[in-house]
Amino acid sequence: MTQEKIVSTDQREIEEAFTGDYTKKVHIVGRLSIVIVLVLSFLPVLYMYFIKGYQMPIDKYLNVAFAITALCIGFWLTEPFTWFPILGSAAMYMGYIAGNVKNIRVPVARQLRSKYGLSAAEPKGQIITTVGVAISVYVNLIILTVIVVFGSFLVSVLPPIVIEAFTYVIPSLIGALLAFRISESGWIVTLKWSVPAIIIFALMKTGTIGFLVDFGMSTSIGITILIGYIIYRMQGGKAKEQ
Amino acid sequence: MTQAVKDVNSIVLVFAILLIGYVIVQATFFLRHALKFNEKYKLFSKEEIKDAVQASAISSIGPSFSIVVIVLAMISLIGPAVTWMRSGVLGSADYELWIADIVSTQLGVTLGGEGFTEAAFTVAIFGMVLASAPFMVNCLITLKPLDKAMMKAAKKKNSFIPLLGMTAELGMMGYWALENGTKGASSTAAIAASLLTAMAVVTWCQKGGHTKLSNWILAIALIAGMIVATIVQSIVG
Repeated sequence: MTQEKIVSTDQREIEEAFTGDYTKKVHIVGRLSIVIVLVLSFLPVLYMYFIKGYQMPIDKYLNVAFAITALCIGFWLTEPFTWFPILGSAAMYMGYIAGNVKNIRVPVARQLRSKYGLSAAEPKGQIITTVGVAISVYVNLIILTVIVVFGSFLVSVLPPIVIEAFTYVIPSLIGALLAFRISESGWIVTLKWSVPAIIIFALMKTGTIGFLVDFGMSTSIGITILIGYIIYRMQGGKAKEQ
Repeated sequence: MTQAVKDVNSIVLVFAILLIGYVIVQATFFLRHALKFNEKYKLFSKEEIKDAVQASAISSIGPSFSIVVIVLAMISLIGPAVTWMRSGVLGSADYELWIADIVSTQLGVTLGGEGFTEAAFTVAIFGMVLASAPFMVNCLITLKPLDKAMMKAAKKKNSFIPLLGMTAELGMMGYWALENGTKGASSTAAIAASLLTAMAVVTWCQKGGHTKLSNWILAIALIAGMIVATIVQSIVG
């Protein structure tokens, strides 16, 4: 009894420290980093335009800006929301600055949490996700640099079949991630909660909701969460991962 | 590679180093911040953290190679420094190449071709940065309120948060699997092979307590998926 009390007091202290100072600092540094990276990203454009004189009429820039906005606005608005429940804040700040959120940050976070049996909502899950995503940033940058510097040489020495095999990294990654979920929740729960995605994909393919085709994944995530929430409310807030 | 592409790349290199340097600084800050918290509250032992670092490093290798082909294509069109900067900060290689192509089409030139002058290349870089910047602005505005909402919900006795994580993940995974699996027999085979391999290794690790091997699950599954997919591709053609 006393031991239980100590454990729950410790747990409360950890949660308070995590939601307090720790998270506050994450947002201060995360937001500041975004501002710094945005300025640094536009700097080469400003340098080449104003200092080097590589100029094109402003209407060319505006045309490009309009075209990109029309194509990407849906992604801009929806994508970060879809990864937040999986990654949490610190990993999101790192992921959106270093890129490759879906292909690298999410798989690393999932493998680690699966290994330790943790969820993204608890401090332990968040700490281990942050460690994993930070390491993935280093490793990914090292590999990217090697590919950029020695890429042509690597292609010349690797057999064509190996190069072709690289095109199957993504489908193989999907299979492994599904396996992590199945090992945690079981086949039935995984299949049951995949039904909304299957229906949405079928509706996209048949053109029934073809206008959403560019936002297929975001729609699938949004609808699946919504169904989960409706069931959670219908069961008086008692629905768990089942 | 044209002279214009070479010139712009030599200018961009300095900015690329600055940007990538900052990405490393930011990751180091978050890593240290998490480790300090862990040290104070003893959530994980030193061995567990070492193990997690090893597992993350191994798990990052396979997915990082998914961009090899596209990065090489990018280098041949827009040069190494711009490719390095755009694939290492803010973006992902396929998205960047897609945007660069849209910009050059808008300007009526061929990406990396003769008409792709220094001025056109500057517009292309502007387009690539612009296409990624709003994702970050979105994070800047929404992450803090989202975090607050999540913390508030997590405090409830029967919180929706665990279900939120699972539904978000399966909404994503289900759609992503179908999108890729329907591309052809070899892609379907890759998904099935890596799924079954990962399941087998997970079960083996759980039953036998092979904690070291559990760090390699993702890598083993990727290799199995790639081998089976390549075999299927060579059979079906």
